[in-house]
Amino acid sequence: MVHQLLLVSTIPHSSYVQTISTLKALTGQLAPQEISLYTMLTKPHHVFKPKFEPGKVNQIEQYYMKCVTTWEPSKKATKMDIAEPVFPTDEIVVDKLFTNGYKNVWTLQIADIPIAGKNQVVSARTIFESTLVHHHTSVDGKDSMLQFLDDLGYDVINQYWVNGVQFFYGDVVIEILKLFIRDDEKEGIKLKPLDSSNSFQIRCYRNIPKSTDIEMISQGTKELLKLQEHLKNLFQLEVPDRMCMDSRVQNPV
Amino acid sequence: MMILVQNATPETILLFHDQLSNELPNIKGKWGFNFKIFRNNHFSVPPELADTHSSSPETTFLHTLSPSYMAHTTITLINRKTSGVFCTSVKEENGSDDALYAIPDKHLNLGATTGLNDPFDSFVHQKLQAAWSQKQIIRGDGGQIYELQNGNLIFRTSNVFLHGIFKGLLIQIEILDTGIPPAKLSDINEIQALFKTIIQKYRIPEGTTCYDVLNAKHLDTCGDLALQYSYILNF
Repeated sequence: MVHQLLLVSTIPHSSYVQTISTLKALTGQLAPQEISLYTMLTKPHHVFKPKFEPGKVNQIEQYYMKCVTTWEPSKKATKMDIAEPVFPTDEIVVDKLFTNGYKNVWTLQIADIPIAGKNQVVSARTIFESTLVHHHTSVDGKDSMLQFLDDLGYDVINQYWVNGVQFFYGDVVIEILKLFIRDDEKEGIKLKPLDSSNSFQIRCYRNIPKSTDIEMISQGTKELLKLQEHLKNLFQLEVPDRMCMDSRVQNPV
Repeated sequence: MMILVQNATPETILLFHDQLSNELPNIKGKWGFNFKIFRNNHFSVPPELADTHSSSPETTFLHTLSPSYMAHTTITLINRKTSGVFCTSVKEENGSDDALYAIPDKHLNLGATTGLNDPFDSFVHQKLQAAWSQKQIIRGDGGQIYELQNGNLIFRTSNVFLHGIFKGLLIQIEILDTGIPPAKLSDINEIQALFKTIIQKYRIPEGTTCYDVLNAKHLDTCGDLALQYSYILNF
C-alpha cells in the first residue's frame, strides 16, 4: 500500500528542451532516468449486485485494475527518442505481446479515488499493488497471464504505452511522459501519440509508505508545493480532477 | 508430494521426528506457512445472468500459500487451474541472489512498480472483495526441514492449525532428482511407485496423500505445490 501525493501539468513539445535543462539544474541530475511502460486496463467480468440492507453500510466496491509491465520497443524499430516530435508518418511499432513470447512480470494495481475536500492543495490517494513474477496454467495453448486474469475475474478493456523520463527532486518524482495508443494493425502493432500535438504530460508525486503517517504526508505536501512554486514560470502544476481518477466500477442499482 | 496425518498425536509426531533423526539428516532449520482460502463472492454475477439472478450459481476458489522458506513470496492458485507467484521485494533490495523469485530491477527502474508492494493475499482481501471473500486461514507452525540423500530428498514437517485448532501433521516431501526419465514423468504410476518406496523406507505415518499436478506435461514447482495444499488442507 502506498499513499501518493500528486500534482499534474502539461507542456507543448516546444518547451521540452527548456524543461529538461531546467529540471537538470534543479535536481542536479545530469541524465534523467527512462520510463517505458505497457499497461493493460482491466475491468471485473462479473456484475456486482450487493444486497442493500437498511442500516448496513456496504463498503465493498468493484475496481478497475491496471496491469503494468515494461515496454521494450520492437527490435525492428529504431530506438524511440522522446525529444523528437512524432508525426503521423512515423512508424512506432511494437511486437504483439502474447504471440512473440510472453512477459512474466506484471504489477497489478488498484487505486482508490483521491481524498475529497474543497481545500486539497495536492491530490492524495492510496494505491495498492502486487507484482506477479511467474505464472502457469493447466489450460493448453493459452498465455498463462491472460488465463490468470480470466480466472481472477478480470477482462482486458484497453491498453496504452508510456514513454518518457523521470527526475528525482528529494523524495519527489517528476515524470515527463507521452502516452501512445494503438494506431492500426500492420506487422506488429503500430502506435500513435494519444495527443497528436505532441505535448507532454507531467506528473510530480511523492510516495509515502503509510497513509497514517500524517507528519510525512504534510512534509510531502510542502515539498510538492515548493516544487510547484519553483517551476511556476515553466509550467503550472495543478491538482488533477478527482472524478477523472475514480477507479470504481459503476453498476446499475 | 504431501501427506497430512490427521490423527497425529504428540507421540506419533515425536516418533516420526526420532526416526528421521536416526537417518542423520541435514537439519535445515524451522519453517511455517500461511494458507488462505477465498471463495467467489456470490453477489458478483456472470453478466449473462445479471438480469435474472441476484447471486451467482457457481462456486470457485482462490488459494494463497506463503511458506516462510520463500521470503516475500506468495503463491496463488485460482480454480485449481491457474497459478501465479507474487513477490514484494525487488532483486537489488534483496541483497543476496539466492531468492528463487524477485521483482527484476528493470521493472522498478522503468517505472512499472512503486516498489511498495502488498502481499497478494492482502491485495485480494482489500481490493478484490467484490470478487473473492476470504473464508479460512490455515497456519503451519513448528515446522522442521530435513535434508537427506545429499540434499536430493527434502522432508518438511509442520503442525497444521485451522483458526487455532490443531488439524494434523503435514509432511511435505520433495525429490529433486527422481531418476525417472523425463518422458515418463507424466506417468502417475511411476510417481506413485517412487513415493511408495520412500514412505516405506522412512516409515512415514499414514494419512491423506496428494501428488496431483496442474499439467503433467509442464511441471511447475510452485503451482503444483499450491494445488496439493488445496486438496490436502480441505477441511
